[in-house]
Amino acid sequence: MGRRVLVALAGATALVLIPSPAAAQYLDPGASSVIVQVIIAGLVGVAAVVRLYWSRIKAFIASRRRPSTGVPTDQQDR
Amino acid sequence: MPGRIASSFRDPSGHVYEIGGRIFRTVREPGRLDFEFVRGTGYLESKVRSGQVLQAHVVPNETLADVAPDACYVLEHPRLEFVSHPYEWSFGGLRAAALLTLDLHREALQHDVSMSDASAYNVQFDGPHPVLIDYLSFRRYHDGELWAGHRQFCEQFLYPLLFTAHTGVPFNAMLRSHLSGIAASDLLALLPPLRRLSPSVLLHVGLPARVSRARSRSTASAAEHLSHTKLPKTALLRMLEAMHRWVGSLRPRGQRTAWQTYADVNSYSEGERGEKARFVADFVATTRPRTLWDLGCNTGDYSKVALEAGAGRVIGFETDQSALDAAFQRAEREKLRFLPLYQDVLNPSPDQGWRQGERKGLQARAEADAVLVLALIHHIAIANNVPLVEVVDWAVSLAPSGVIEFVPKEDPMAAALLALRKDIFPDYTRETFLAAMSERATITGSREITGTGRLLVTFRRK
Repeated sequence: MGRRVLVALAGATALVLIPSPAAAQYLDPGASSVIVQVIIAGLVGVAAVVRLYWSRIKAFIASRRRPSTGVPTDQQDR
Repeated sequence: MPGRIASSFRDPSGHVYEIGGRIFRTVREPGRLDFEFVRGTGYLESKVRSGQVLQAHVVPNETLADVAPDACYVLEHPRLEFVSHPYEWSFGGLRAAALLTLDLHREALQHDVSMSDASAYNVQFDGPHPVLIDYLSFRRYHDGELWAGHRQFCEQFLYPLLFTAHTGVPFNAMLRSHLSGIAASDLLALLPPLRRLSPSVLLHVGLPARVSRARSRSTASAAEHLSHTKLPKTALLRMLEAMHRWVGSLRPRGQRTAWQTYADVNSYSEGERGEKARFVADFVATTRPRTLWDLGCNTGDYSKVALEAGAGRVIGFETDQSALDAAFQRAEREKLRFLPLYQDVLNPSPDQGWRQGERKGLQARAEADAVLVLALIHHIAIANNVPLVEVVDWAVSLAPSGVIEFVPKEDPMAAALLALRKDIFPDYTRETFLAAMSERATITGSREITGTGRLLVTFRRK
């Protein structure tokens, strides 16, 4: 994975989050830790959205499959 | 700084002092509001009651007026009997300390309290139970803040555990050289290639290693920009939970070693072993040591004997990682006040860190009331060529009284050490041993416990 990809990925996940002032700490969290946490926040956010809409996604997938099962076709009518 | 403990300098919120054998912690202005907030939640009191956080009570500021006139509050902690360092812990010990740190952080968040760091040096052990000692790690949680201690947690807990879990090599030597912890890039280079591909390793090791290697201005400015991003509390909790599951699932890779099975294959008969245990128990019952050191404790057989005979607590030392881990598990399982630690007596923990005062070496912490040196001196004298008189001198220097076992060359275990080499130890005899002992201590009792002439001696230092 290239550096640009990493930064872009972190940036993209940050879009779903709201900016806030950094808390004053005596430890330097390090650039890598900040990026990892922002990605994790993004993943958790995506997972939450998926969970929220899971029933709709399932219904959507089921509706896409339905035409091939159970319903009589023109061919069977003949 | 007079009285200030040498390792207490990183956090401006407060410092730790040792005055007249008592331990105090100051809360300074930068940490005052956080301290007052955390105190108001009652969270720490509940954790003190459950034994997960070290006790502390507020004492008058005048107690430290001479050395810390700027203190907003002064707390007093009970003095720890023995301070151990993370690079001396067993795999199970480091894992238990990691899980405690995550548990405390998760529970704290329910009270809007967070932890400002995740240093392994903030954890000490009471027997096999980890206890957090740093009150000032707890701060008010600000909605959306990042986990400031994430990198520290990874470097001081997660990476050493992953290293041993995936390579089978003990983390101790590496952690002893790198006091701030193992770097992500070092760990990544050492992990087997397939292990690098797991999603968790990619995220928590691969990515940080990659970013730290990049060190470019664009990465730094991206990180700076992102550091203003809110991490929702649910995301922080999920991260802590996921980390907890991951750390809890780690086991040291590798096989049982010779030492772990030593108790079954040594040169004693059942009756001789019982006699040795009785001798140790009699010594402990007579001397009643509050703290006893068991050098070369193996899986802790005689540590347990000593505890049952009335020793207050036992600190065991062992080099074999598997035996050490078995000993730690035994202490947990059997609820023994026994802490087995990694220590190579031929190269014990040195004074190290900032100005070589930050982390004390083993000798500087030798405050035991008694010591057990069982089935060990032939390994030091024969396998490592240390003159017998020096071995005795060292053993007697560790505590005012103890039990030492002399293993003669005729014993099968000692004979095995000489099987492939020339015997260059004409002075390795029972007579030299007893003469060296008598010069430094009063021999208060002795018993020959095997047909091959293994000799147990109790001493009181002169």
